[in-house]
Amino acid sequence: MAHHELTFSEKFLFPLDHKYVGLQYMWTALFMAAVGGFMAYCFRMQLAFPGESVPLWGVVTPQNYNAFITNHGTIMIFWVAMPLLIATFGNIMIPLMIGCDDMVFPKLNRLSYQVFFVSTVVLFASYFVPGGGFGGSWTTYPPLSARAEYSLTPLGSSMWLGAVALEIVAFLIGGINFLTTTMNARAPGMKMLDIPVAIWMINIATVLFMFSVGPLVAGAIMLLLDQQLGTSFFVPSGGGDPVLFQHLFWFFGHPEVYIILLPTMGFVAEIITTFSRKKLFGYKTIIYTSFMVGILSMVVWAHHQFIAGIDPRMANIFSITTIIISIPLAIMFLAYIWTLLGGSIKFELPMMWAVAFLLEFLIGGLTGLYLGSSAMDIYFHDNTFVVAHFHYTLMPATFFGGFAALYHWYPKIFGRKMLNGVGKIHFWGTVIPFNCIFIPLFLLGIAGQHRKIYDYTHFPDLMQSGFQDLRVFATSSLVVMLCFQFLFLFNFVMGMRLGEVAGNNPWNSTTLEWACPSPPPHGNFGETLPTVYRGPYEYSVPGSDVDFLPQHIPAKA
Amino acid sequence: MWETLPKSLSTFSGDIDHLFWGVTYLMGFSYVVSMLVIIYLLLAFRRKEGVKAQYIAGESGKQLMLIYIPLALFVCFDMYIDTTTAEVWHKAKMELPAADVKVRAVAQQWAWTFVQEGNIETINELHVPAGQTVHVAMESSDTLHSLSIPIFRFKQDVIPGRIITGWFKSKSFAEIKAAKQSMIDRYNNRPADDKFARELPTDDAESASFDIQCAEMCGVGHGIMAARIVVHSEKGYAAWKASEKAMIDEMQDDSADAEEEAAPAEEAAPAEETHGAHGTEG
Repeated sequence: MAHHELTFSEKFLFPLDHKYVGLQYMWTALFMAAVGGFMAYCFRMQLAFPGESVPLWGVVTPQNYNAFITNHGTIMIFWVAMPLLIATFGNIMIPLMIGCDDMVFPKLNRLSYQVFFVSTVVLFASYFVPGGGFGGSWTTYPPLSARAEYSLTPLGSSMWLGAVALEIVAFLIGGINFLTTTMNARAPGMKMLDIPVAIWMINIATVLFMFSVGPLVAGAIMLLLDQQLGTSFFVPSGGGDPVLFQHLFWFFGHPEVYIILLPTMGFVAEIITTFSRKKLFGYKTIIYTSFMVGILSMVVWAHHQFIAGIDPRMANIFSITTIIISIPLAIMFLAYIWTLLGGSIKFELPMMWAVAFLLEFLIGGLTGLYLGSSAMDIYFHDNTFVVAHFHYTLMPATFFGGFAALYHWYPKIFGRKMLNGVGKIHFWGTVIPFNCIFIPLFLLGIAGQHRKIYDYTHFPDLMQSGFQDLRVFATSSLVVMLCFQFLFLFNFVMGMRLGEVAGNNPWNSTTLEWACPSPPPHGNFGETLPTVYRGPYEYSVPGSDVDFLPQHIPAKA
Repeated sequence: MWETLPKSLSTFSGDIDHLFWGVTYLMGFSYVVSMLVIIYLLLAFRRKEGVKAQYIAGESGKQLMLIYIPLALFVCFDMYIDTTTAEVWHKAKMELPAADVKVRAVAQQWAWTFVQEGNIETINELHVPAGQTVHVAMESSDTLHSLSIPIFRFKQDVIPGRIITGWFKSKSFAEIKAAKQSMIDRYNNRPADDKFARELPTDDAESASFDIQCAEMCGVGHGIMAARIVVHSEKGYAAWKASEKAMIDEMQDDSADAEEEAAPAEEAAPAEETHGAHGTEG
């Protein structure tokens, strides 16, 4: 392929180059994160100061509140976590880290983003149709979601569903590309077990997505027919079964958690090895356990439905599988911890975020064992304990892992590092308030506070002394945390001008993306693609005078 | 000032709490140990001039023991959780002790109707006698709802088209009244400038009331679908029933319109009896 200078349109409007497709996903994801954060701000303000006018929005009506919580969840999962972790880094890093010039299907790649863009437009449009945006919660349980007379959003619910379906199509198209590229376009010499963990994890997540999403699509189509044509797949008065939809939804919904978690586990592996100058502890163990996580994650879904009307005997089985999934995750977690053992650790920004991910995710993981127990779930189902739990898993996975990866690969993508001082302030300004938001939610949940409620003043037992103070504290912490994100935005934009010039390999890392110029030109590696001579984490090899041996540099004779 | 779990007032609520605390100790232990190890590693292996990192692949059996030994301990924790869970779950959700009192709970957007024996209907107030096994037959006339009674650790989704029977048996009335009194005392002890605290609804001498929540998203009014459970002493329950009965009789005498007082669920979709959530035997 003859490499020429790309035009504006080829870079930013209709790019075929994988890096620019990735950047399109990244900017969209960051924009959607701001939208999702604003929604969280609105509904948290309503909980802290019920009925009062919220600055920048106004009075949050019950309809607003339900639409906000529904779309906050939907956006953060489908329009932030997946595009940021999988699509952005998948697109940018897969060709760079396996040493090829582009994705194998560039046009499919472009199509993937275009479909994703349309899905975003449809989602936004759903807020402005008569009746307003869908408010039946992101799980979209029928019959509420199936009939306009229950949900009161005749168009909003169908458009929401259509947007999610389009998003899924975009990720299926992108996923085909990821898998095919990784399988077929690896640099000469790169065997399966020479693939960096980040690329493994993105591919495992993609396979998991493909295996699990089918039932959801089927469910979504049936639900759409229920909404628009009045069929009764999920409506009991016409002979349907609402619980069936829950099975179809969660058969995808639970693996989805791991689809988001695994890529971050991959990024964190790259980062902790680089910044502790260590070989990854138990590379093969980590790869194999992540297969096990993927397989197990497909047989735990009904733990979302313990008290939803399934056969109570079934709850026993799903309780056991759910608790068992803690085993492979514990193995992975321990492998990451022991990677630090004997290291030479430097706390650069990516490392700080990676460590923050490990420490905070630990809380999310351990509180999961409360909820995997069917007996405790009787009390905790639909309780803010659950909300705090999954934010302790998904926030670290999406944002802490996302920040870690952004800080780590920013120099590769833009050619300069982000500003260190600003980055540190942003780090503490995010991590501390994050805990201050969700620890109160654990406490309130234990005290009996259920979720998705727009005004707790109707529940006298939940208005005891101190309860509202905690809600106000959580909301204030959220506002503080959101304010600190402006620093990140500042850093992200200004880093491109003011940041320290990075060079090819600013972190002295070993994987292939550091072999090409920063930012990589169209075609990435120039005329000759790199050849791989060793595994991805050869740091501090005994007998070597440098503390890292890049994958592409041949051993000295 | 702060109590963790709310008052625990049914026969199985204590078991759930016990499991909660057991898991809290195990997970607390796991958390503290992991944190200490991680913080130690981060501090002990900071970058120092001239000190090279070690080369540990983590592939040999001996090195992998670093993973498998803590893992074995964690598997023991898992087994405790699994076995205790099965026991408690069986007691709360799979057994169905014979009923002393049967109540129908009909959910709709956005209120609860409770129907006692003798067709005594109450809206958003569930009256039950203390110390007796109560069966609640739950049905919905529109969307999903969920009947949650936190002090009893009782929760069950309510599904249109099905009748799901749940049960609870509260502790003795004396214990319930004492628990309520301590809640009231705590309310009264709050700081004078606590503008967010609300007054608890008051009870008479023979009853104590607590929150019922709807715990499944059921539409725009989900956030206001609140109800109260009123737990009576045996004497109080009989008296309450008698007075309700008298009121119904009076109304029936007064007016023929009382015919329309039929239970709202009869207008709903024909419900099919299931044992979906409670009891596997017929």
